[in-house]
Amino acid sequence: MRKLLAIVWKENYERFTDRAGLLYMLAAPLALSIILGLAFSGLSGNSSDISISDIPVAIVNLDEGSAQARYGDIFVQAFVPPNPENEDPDNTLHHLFDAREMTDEAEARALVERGDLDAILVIPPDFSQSLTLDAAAFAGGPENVSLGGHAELTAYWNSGAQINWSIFRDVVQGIANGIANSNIAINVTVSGLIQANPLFGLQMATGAFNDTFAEIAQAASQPGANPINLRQVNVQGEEVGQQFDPLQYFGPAFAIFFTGFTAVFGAASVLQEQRDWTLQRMIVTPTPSLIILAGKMIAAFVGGVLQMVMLIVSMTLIASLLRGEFTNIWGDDLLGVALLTLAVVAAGTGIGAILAGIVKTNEQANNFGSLILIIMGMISGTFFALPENPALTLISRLTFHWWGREGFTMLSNGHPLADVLPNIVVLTALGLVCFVAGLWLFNRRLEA
Amino acid sequence: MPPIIEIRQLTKHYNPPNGPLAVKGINLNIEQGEIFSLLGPNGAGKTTTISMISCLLAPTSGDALVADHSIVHESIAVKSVIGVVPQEIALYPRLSGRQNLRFFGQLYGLTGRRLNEAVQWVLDIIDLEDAADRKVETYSGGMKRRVNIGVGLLHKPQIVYMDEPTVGVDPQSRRRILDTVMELKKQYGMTVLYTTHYMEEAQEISDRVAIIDNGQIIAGPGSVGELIQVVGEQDTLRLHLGTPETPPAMLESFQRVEGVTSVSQQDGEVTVVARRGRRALPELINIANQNHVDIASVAVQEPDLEAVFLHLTGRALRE
Repeated sequence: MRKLLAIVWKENYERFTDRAGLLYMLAAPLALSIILGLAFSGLSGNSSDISISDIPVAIVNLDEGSAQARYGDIFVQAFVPPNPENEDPDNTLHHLFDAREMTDEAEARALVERGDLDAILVIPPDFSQSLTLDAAAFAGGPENVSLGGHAELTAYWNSGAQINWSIFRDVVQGIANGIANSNIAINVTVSGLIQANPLFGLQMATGAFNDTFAEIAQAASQPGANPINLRQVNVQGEEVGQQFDPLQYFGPAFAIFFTGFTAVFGAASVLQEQRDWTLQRMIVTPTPSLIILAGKMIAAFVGGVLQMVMLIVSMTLIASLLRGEFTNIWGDDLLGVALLTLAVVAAGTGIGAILAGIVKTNEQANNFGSLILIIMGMISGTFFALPENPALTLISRLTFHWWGREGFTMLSNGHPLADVLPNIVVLTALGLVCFVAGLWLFNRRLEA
Repeated sequence: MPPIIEIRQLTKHYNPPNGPLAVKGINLNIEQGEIFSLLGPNGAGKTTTISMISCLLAPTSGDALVADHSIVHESIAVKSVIGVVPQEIALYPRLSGRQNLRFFGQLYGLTGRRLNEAVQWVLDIIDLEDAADRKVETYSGGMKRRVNIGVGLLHKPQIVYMDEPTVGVDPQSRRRILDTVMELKKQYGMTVLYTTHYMEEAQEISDRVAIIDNGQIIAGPGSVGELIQVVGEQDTLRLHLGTPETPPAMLESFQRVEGVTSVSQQDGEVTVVARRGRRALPELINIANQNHVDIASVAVQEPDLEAVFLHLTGRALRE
């Protein structure tokens, strides 16, 4: 045990007395975090309000409507204030977006390409028609009634506005879901009526109820009746704010990203020791190889935890300074934050152990390690919110960054520790499995 | 008394079957309290042998008993009785000399007062007390070498392995290191296994020497005098040429001179081993003149280990 502690002490003494190492480990992440915080504060000088608002978007409504409804108008009404001079202050969407209605798709796309707009939504001419009940089908009897058509919306976005795009996309998706839900509800109701009274189907086919259904469909799809809800409420039922808080997302993401480097390279530094012969010198002492390698890994783990703690504290300070009041972007569950921090660093250290077992030189470890960590950061959404894609969603879960960030975001939004336990378990298991495999691989190579 | 190190058929084959066979079944006995030198050129297998009997490398076959402990089956016991001084400066540059000694002392199981005493004892031996608290990165090459040796002595081992400890040091530091090695035997009764490719060092400090080349012991073990008898009453003539070019025809003519047993050349110097070398000298100079080669100087040496190696391999030790 004393030998293990001696190795851990030596490692961290070296790490924390190396100015260049400290700069890399603490100063660089801090500087980037400050830049991140300033970027999301809008650089407007209004440091007390970190919020996103007035995202420039346009709705290109080409919808020609159907006999029953003109669903495209729902998007326009949701995004574009009827009277821009006298905006309703309680309307979240109108506050969040600076939206305009357009009719020329090419012109709108040109504005996106120029960067004047962050995103546009193009509603095709047949949008309402595609979603409307097929009147002819009703004549064939209840078994032929369609429960809804298929419509396609197209959105264009400026690749330089990832976050704004993700917000816009989520809102559009929500409205679309609302329309689809109300449409299905009406169709199910109509189907039920036809089953109860086949004569009703014949009357439908003749268009006798067109006006009535048009009113129902329009009313059911209005934003007020829509299940879209931009309110952010924590599990205690408290309103936590209307704004998307980038620091809650990117703070943990960047902390995990940088800590990953410290943990991985700390573990892989065993290769540097091998090159310098200090590892061999340790091995020729009466100390089991397992103790030596475990000492190195624990030291990397301790270094990673220290860095993570310092980043948590410093990012809290940055957020508080920007908002002018104490702001905790990590949530109030300190035990959860502590356990998740340990689990994230354990996973990073484990990956470092695997790396040390696979590659042969410190240079290879640095190159491959950087590459792996950057790729992991990208596919886990560290640098930008990921687009909706099932394959990407699955791949992102293969990274410790995703499990860590997701856990921190949950804690930040007030979820209890129990909700984050799966993340902690996955990260810890990943760390342990990689650690054992890495030790085995490295030990095998040493004895060759 | 049984040998303190018994090496039996020790073999190391890296990455078999196509990798290099670095050590080819060597056998050696090293007696307690002696300074034993393993002399050979770079790549001869010295470091691989030391690495195996330090339990750093697993042998492909064979075994060695170190203080009656098998290197294959009792590695921790072996490591407890040996101190290893590697060829590389295996120190942490951002730690001070004292911190390096304390760290490795702890890995040898020393704690508390025993650790403090051991560190102080080593600092006295390597004469580095004044600079002990400076970071190693500020030390001169010679000082680093001395700390490098000190680390291997911390636990007062019965046996010390020193792998080319004087490589790259200035003459003054080299002298100090050689004195330290001899003192370890004289003052503390330690057994020293010393590898080098410097013939003069082996000749000066060793009780016994073995010459290794291509992974095999080609001469010895024996005392320096016993090894020199291999070449008999032969002199070594060193001819420093005035030109860097050495005509092959001239070297072939040298071989045919009566009494000459071997000829080698390196960096404008031709080394000739010959019985009654002084008598052969006029004819050698004559051949050089016929080949239009100027001889800048001539040195005649009594037989030494260099001559032994040249005699056995046809190559100079430092080729």
